[in-house]
Parts: sequence; structure tokens; C-alpha cells
Amino acid sequence: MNTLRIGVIAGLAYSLPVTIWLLTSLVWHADRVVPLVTQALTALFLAQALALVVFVPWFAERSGWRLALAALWLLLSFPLPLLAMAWATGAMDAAHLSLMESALVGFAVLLLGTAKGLVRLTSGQIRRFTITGLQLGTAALLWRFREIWLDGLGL
Amino acid sequence: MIFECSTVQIVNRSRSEFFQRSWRYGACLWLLAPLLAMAAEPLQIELLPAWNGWLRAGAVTELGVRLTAEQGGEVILTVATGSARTETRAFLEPQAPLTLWLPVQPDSNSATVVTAVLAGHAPVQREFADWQWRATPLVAVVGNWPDSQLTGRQDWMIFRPNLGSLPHTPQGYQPIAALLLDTAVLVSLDEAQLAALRGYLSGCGKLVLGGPPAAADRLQRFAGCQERFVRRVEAPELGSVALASLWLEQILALPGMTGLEPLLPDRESWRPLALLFAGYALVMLLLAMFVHQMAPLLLAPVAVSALGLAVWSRGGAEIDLVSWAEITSGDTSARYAALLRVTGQGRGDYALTVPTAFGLPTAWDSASPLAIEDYRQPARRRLLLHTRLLEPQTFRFTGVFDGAAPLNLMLTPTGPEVVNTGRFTGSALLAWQGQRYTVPRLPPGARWTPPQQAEIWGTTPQEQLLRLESATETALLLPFTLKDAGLLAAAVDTGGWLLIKARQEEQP
Repeated sequence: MNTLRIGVIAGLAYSLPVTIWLLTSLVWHADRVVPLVTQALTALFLAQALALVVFVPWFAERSGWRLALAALWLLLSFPLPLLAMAWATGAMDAAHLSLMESALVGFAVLLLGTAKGLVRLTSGQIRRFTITGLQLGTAALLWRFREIWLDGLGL
Repeated sequence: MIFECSTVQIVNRSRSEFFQRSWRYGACLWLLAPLLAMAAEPLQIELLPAWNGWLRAGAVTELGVRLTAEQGGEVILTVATGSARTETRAFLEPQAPLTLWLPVQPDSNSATVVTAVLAGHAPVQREFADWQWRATPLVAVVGNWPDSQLTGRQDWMIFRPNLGSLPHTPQGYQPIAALLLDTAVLVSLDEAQLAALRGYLSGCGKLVLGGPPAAADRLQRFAGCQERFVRRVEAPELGSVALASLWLEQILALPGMTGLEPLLPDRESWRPLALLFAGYALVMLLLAMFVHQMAPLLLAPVAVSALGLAVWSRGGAEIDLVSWAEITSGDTSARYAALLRVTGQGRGDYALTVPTAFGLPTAWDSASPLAIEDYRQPARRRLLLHTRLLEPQTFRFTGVFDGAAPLNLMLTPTGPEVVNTGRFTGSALLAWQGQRYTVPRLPPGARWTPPQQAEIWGTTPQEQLLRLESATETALLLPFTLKDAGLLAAAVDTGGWLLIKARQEEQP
């Protein structure tokens, strides 16, 4: 399976559950649109960050810069229609959404650069070990301090 | 003072005299400044609060705004309170005072600000902060009633408004709990005040009537709720006794927002969104599987988002309106509560035309402050809304409409009896002693009495509301919308119900 397909499937994998949860919640609580959408956005950004940690080193290891960036874009841009909907519900302003997405793009590029560096500097089992370490360490940090960085993003 | 100012001259004065003169000049200017400023204003505004400004917290009252201008033209009058803003457009004739009677819901934390803009002139602003807030129910005393027996009660507070401050709109009666009226004063009221008073009576407002019996008879004809809330007294001294007996009478309030909400139809606004997201996911998967060029795949999320933004930034809304009206069989007017729900189809501004008979909403659930635009010529009222996708905004209106019940319900010693007066062609529900009966379609003039066997209550919201509202009374429920009452245009899609309370058969 090529890198772009992985990007699409990863995007689908994390945004589909959030979308389904949001729409089914709206069926039962039509009067709580803004709190539900805000809750969905929080879950979406957390899932997006964790998906980046899982997949970006993987893209870096298997593809060149061009394909890895394209897959990264697919992974990040998959829930764009959901973000457009969030703007339309008034749960968040366009500027706020752009700021949050920019922060994630910055984080993704940094992660890709780090992973690419590790790929260049290491090989074999050491590469495998260091990249897995990068993934586990970053994921653990993101999860441990999720309230701080999500709060920093205004969520 | 003005004369003195104009004759003052400064010629060869000593230094101290000069300062004294300057001080006097300053004082004159300070006193004249407001007068000069007013004279320079293109519009003169006089504020005339109903009930001399007395009101209870949360009530809608009325504010009269008298406008006078040297030059005529369109005037835009904005009345802003803490929670609502009403914009009224009217045409002002030169040098002819125009008085607009506006429903307002003052805010106890902020002044009511009135801004008037005459076409081509600078805005003129006035503030009114002299509302007389009271927590105790207010009883307005109009005419010749002795104070001594009316005062000193814990459960009400009396006040004596000027005749001119009696409301000109039915909503203006909301601040008071009861009215003591000497019918001798009726001749001094203008047509709008009389119409508002009749509206108060039709809406089952509490009234003690004294004075000439002929005028009282004429007025009492308009009373709703089988005249349960009207007392007639022969002598003014008996006013307090009548008021005390009236005070014990309780009227069941019309359903509130939570009571009416279940009557609104279910909107499945999420369905198009589910289709959009499902279609989008499918397109992305197909592109990933079968298209080998990178560009379509990379651009697809942006294209779908742009499409969504294009649709959702146009605003728009879905409108639902339901009403619940109540009438006592044999009365000539009914009270109603209507719930208007506006569900946004996108993010934007939306102006919704509402019937002018609706007045100001008595309650609303909306993220933004209430904004109403009111045109006087021709009469048109619009709610100005900021809509957001899927977000419902609800507004509750109350009022009274004229008309008789299409079915008569009499409570005889043997039980209830339903008579079709000839206009109703559907079936109805009867609630009697906590039981449910279906009233079949009746030909004009036909009578019907309930059978021995009652039915099981249904679970529909209107049946639940019927059960609740008729817990202590016998009542009929039938479909009846505000279109049937003549308040709405035929084109408006609306639902509604009419509860007909039984009239006790009079004993010979």
C-alpha cells in the first residue's frame, strides 16, 4: 500500500469516529450544538496529534520528502470539511481554527524533520528502535500533557 | 437670567468686577447650554413610560416616545435595553407630534436608551432609568377608590398611575397583577388605551370595576375565562373586599417554553450533513484507490470544504411555529402562547417577518440579544437574527385573539356535553375527571356525550399537555393553528392546538 493511501486511511480512521459521534449526538441533543461541536473538536485535535505521532515517522522512513509531505497533508486535511462545519455552527472562529491547524502543521513538520534526521543518522535495528522510541515518547508526552496543550490551543 | 445675560457689558471695570462678570457669564452659559443644545436638535423626544414607570422584574411594559421635528421625514427609533434592541421606522410629518407606543422589557441593571435618527440629521439620544422596580405584585388603582382599605397588605402593592400612562398596547398590561378601575374614567381614555384594556380583559386579567353600571356592562362583555376574574362593586369602599376575593382566584398560566417545545416537529437537520460526510469519505477512498495522480487527492478536502463554506456562509434558516391556545366555551376570545423556532442553515444574518400582533417575545433562548425591526407604514415586524448552522433559537410569544370556540363544551349535572356549533369538521379529545375520550366527527349542531368506557392516554406531547392543563377541569383539545385564528398568513406552515375549557351550565 503506498504512502498516500496510508495518509487517506489514517485521516479517515481518526476523523470518522469523531464525525459519527458528533452527528449522532446532534440527533439526541439538537439544542446543544456549540458544546457538542467544541467537544468534537477537542477530540479531533487530540486524535490528529496522536495520528501524526504514529504515522509521520512511518512516512519519513518509507518515502522521500515530497511523498511524505503529501501524505502528511492528506492526514491533516482529511477533516477540513468538519472544521468548516464547526465554523458554520459558530463553535469556533476561522482565525482560531486556522491558528490551531497551523500549530498542528508546525508540529507535524517538526516531527517529520526529526524522523527524517533519525532515518539519515541511523540504520537497521537502531533506526527501528529510535523511531519507535520517538513515537512512544512523543505520544506519551502528548497524552500526559494533553490538558496543557489543548488549553493552550483554546480548547 | 436670560435677560440679565444679554444686557451685561464689560466696560472699564476693576479686576475683581471683571472676574465677577466672567463668573456670571460662565454660569449663564452653563444654564443655557442644554437649552441651546435642545434647540439645535433636529428632533424633540419625550419619553412616556406606561404605569408611570412602575413594573415588576422581567415584565414587558410599554414606553411611549413622542417625537416632534421642524422638518419631516423617515425616523428610525431604536430602543435598547440590556437584553433587547427594537428598531422602529415611522414617518414624521413636519411640526406634527408623533407618539409611538413600544413594548419594552427593561433591564434592572441598565438604563433604557432611546435613539432617534431623522433622515439627514444627527442621532438624538435619551435615557430612561427611572423604572420603579417592585418585587411585590402591583395593583393599579385608577379613579375614585379610597386608599385606606387598599394599603397595608403584604401580598400586593397599590399605586395610582396617571390616566395618560395607561398602556396603549395589550402587552403593556404585563407589569400589573390587578386593576381597580372606575368606569367614569373610561371617557378620558383614547381608542388605543380602550383596545389595550379590552385585550387585558380578554386575556383573563384581574379587574375590579366600579362606577356607572352601563359602562361596566359594556366593558365586562370582553372578559375572558367566563368572567371569573372580574368583580363589580357598587361602592368604592368595597373595592378592597372585591380585590381580596379576586386575589384568591388563580389562573393556570399558559405553557412556557419547556411545555411548548415538545410540540415542535423534529428537524432532522443532521441528515444532509451525514450524507455530505459519507459522500466525502467515499470520494476520498475512491480517489486513493483508483486515481494515480496526486493533485485530485490533495485538492479534494479543500474543494469539499470550500463547497461547504459556500453553502454554510449564506445563512438561511428553517422555521417552525407551534401554538397552544385556551378558551372557555362560550367566550369570544382566546389566550395563546406561540413558540417560534429558527434553526440556522448556516452562519449569517437572517431577517424573519413575524406577525405584528405578536408583540415582543416574553421569553427567548438565543445566544445573541433580541433585535426587532418594526415598520409602521405599512405595518411589518421582523426579527433580526444571527444564525448558525444547526443552532436553534426559540422565541415565545403570548397574546389574545378574538373568536368563538368551534365546539361548545358544557358541564351538565350528568356530565360533559359537546356541541358542534357548525364550523368544525375534525375529531377532538376530551379530558374529563382525568380520563381520555375521543370525540368523533360531529355534523353541525350535533351533540355528543362521553361513553362509559374511557380510553388509555396516548404519549403524544399534545395529549401530555392536555392532561397537565386539564388536571382540575374538563376540557376539549382540537387542532387549531394561528392561521385559523387569522393571525398568520395562509402560506405559513404552522401547527397548533386549542384547549376548550368547559362552561358550567347555569342553574335556572
